[in-house]
Amino acid sequence: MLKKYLISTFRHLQQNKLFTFLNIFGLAIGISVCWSIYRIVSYEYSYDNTLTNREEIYRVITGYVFDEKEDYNGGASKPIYQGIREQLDGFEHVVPVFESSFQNVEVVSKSGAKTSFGEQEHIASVDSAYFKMLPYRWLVGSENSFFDNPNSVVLTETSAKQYFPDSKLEEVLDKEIIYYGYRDTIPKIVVGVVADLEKPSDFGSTAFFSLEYTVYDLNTWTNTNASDRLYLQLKKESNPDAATAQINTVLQQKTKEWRDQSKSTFKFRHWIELMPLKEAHFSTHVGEGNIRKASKPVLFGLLGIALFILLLACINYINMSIASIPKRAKEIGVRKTLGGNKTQLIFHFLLETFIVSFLAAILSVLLIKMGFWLLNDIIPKEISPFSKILEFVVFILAISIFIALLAGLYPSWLITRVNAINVFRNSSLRTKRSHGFNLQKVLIVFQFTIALVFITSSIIIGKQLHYSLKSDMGFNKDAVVLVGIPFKIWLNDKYNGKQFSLYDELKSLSGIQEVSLGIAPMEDGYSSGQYEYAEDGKSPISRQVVKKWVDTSYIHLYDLKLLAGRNLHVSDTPKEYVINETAVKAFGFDSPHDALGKFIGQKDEKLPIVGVVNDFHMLDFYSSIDPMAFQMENRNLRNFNIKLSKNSSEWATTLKEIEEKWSQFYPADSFEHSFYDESIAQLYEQEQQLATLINLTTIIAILISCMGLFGLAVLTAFQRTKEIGIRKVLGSSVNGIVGLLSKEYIVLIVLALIFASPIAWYFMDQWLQKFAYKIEIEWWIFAVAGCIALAIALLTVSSQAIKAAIADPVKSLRTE
Amino acid sequence: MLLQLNNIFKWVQSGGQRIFLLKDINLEVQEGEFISIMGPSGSGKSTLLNVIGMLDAFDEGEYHFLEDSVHDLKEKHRSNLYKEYIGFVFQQYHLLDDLTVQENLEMPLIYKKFKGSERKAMVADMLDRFNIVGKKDLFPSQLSGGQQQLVGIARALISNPKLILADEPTGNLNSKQGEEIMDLFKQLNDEGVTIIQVTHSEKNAEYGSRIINLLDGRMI
Repeated sequence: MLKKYLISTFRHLQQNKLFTFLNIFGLAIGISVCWSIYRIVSYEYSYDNTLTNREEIYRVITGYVFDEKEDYNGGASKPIYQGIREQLDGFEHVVPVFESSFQNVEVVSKSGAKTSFGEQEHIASVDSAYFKMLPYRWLVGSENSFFDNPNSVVLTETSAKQYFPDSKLEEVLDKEIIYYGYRDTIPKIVVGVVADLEKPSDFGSTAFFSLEYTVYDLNTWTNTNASDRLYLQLKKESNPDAATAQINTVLQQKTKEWRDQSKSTFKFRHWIELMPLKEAHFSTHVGEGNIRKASKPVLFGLLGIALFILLLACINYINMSIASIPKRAKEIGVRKTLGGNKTQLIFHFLLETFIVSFLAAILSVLLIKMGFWLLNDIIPKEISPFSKILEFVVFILAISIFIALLAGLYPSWLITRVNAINVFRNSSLRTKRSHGFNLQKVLIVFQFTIALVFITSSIIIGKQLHYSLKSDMGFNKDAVVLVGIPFKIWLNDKYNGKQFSLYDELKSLSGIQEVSLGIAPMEDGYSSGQYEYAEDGKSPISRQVVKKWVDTSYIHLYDLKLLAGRNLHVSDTPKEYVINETAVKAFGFDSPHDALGKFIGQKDEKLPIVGVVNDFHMLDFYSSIDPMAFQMENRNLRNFNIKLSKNSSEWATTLKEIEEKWSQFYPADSFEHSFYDESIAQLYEQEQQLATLINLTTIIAILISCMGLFGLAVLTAFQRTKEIGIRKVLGSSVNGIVGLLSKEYIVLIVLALIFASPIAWYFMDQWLQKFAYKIEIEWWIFAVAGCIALAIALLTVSSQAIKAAIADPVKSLRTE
Repeated sequence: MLLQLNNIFKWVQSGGQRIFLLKDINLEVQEGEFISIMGPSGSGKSTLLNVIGMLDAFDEGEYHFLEDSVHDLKEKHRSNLYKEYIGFVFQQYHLLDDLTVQENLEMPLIYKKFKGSERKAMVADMLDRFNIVGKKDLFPSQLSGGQQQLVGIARALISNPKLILADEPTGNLNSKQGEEIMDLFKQLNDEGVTIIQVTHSEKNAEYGSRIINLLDGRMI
């Protein structure tokens, strides 16, 4: 019986190729989006989910208030773990993981030859608690030999294979590895190799040193470093809130001891919190620059997108199915008189829907591959589309059933309501056209509402991005190349002061307009501090001021405008300030001129203001412009700002020349340049990704909605053939009929625009709130979005309308 | 006795007035009869046929089919009843376009949940009986009108109904094809199948054993 149903379904699909195509393609897009997003979301949620004790593991993070701003650090002060072990109960494991990175790692082969591997991160000092909490499998060696020997190192399988690509794991034992730190060099002997933990994981260490017991100074209790992590596994019956409070008590006690001892007046407050391990990957509020994190709102947003796109595709199916019922009425009527009961008819139709969605799922394999290829910048590299075939098969079946029910139930119920007698009595099609609002129209409005929300959002996001990148930032970033002296070279006395010789050399190059040493305008490598201005006889005004070290050509190179006073003078030591307009206002000066000659600065070193420049952006557009002071101090100048000539065809040669000069002074491989406008664009990488995503979603939403609209237009034209024939016989023009057929869609889209605009406005307003400098959401954006939707929709329906309008009425009336 | 209609009324409400489609119909049909229903357009012939076929409801009166009182039955039982005992033949044949001749014949059997092997035998038997074995894999659109109606009748007969209801079975056929179809009905009737047909044609009506004349929903 199933076979017969299948045969008749396939023939039906084959005979209605257009609708089969529209439905399958639309659903395939929906399914592709769902699967891709499901893969992303499930990946992000799979961090450490194979750990059986994941629920009991917490990471200790540190909250602090600095500059009156609350912030979080992913680490915990080193001695806290000792404090917990010595003073508190209720913990299964207390697990310090103190990571460090090394400038270079060298592996010594038997013959004594050394191979270097460059900078290596995530090398952790741990003690035995680490291996008790986490299920590491020892491939060679053992825990005992590790902790017995302070000079030992344990590698993960991955790093063992990296360092010793040609050796078996057994042969790796007892090999020597030399770790070069910034200050010291540490030789280590490999005593074991452990299998990597199941990825993805919050525990990313690649090698382990054994952590020795150290007695820490009191002041280390107040030092927090993100690389010093502390994990706790609570006992099952322990309460994390109580544990947090206990640890904080210990921490505050030690902080107080430190204050009493050091008599420090330094104002700051810190505390610890327990972050559940399963939340670690989503902890975007904790600053850890080098770790990729996922934001839950973004994931929920993605899930929402998936759902909406699938919904759009299902709506297409529902709409086209409903619209084709009159066409199928005869078939349904006959089936009924032949004895088909409701259940059988519903089953038959649901089967048809299931098959359509199943075919769509198969087609989606192709689309998913294409999607991953299109979005490879955005999708984390570890996610592959079809790594788990079984999961995909289950997904396909599940989603096909889901779609069959979502999209098939209502039309199939309508089908059972077809009255056989009516069908037979009027052998022609009886199409009741309702002029009010029926379900189909509601669904179209819904579809276009979603499409319009996306269109509007993508216009606004695009506009804000353009504004962030192209609007006046107060300085001229064109043709500027930045080259920084790497920190390790900077710290090396061998290179002391060499930048000034290089500076002179560079200035002589013909392809270079100007060179300046100093921190680029938009760069957060500055220091800030509390500056005071004390007017005679009044209490001092204290403001947080950003200090930037620059040289004398800086202001000219970046086209900053001196509003009052003069440029800085050459000086080895700080002697004077040039401040910005915001600083002028912050300290309460009446005008830039008023500020000249006044003394500001930290308590013990007040210096005069000699000039005022215009405000310029020092951070991205999320942050407002803060009070700022330029200062010249030779020893802090380590960044080259190079303004190239206007002729961009020379740039490549000029860069070569710069590199050559560079290698005369510094190691050649330390030369790294970036065009300033490109590095500013990188500040908005996330926004660019968001824009890509929203644009793609918009295209998909429009595509699906239009396919639905097209299908509907075809069916409507078919249903109204007779009406159109009669109108033509009565003398209506082709234009008149095209207008008649297109008119109702215009009404629907206008309605959709009315619903979509406030929704889009709300979400975009929320998004823009994060920016300190943002565009206004203006009414014409909605008008443009509406026009786009309208134009696309009319283009879609008018072909059908025209086709129907120019058809020969004699024919249409006869076949009726 | 196969079926009995007592004082059947059917009406529609239009502008506050009752318009009677059927008015006080009394009819008794014995097994083996061949009845022709005649009358001008709009006289209620098809409505009567549909009421007998239980496709359409009536507003008043009693309808007994074999031992069952149709007017008391629930929709489900009613459809079981007609599924089992009644076959329909339509003026427009109403074959399913997506299905071949063979599959069209099989359709009612599928709905009646016959087993696959049984279905095959019954379909083969019917193809044989109507001499259309050679056409079993063709689609309706590949057949002439007469052939389509032949398939339509075969499909109506396949589950061995006691009663065949035919609504102008020759209405779309030319006279020669029509004659063949009527001969077929005669032959089926001789084999014991009860037939009720609606027709405009005096000639076709004469194939039957009894003629019922309708005018404005009344039997005359």
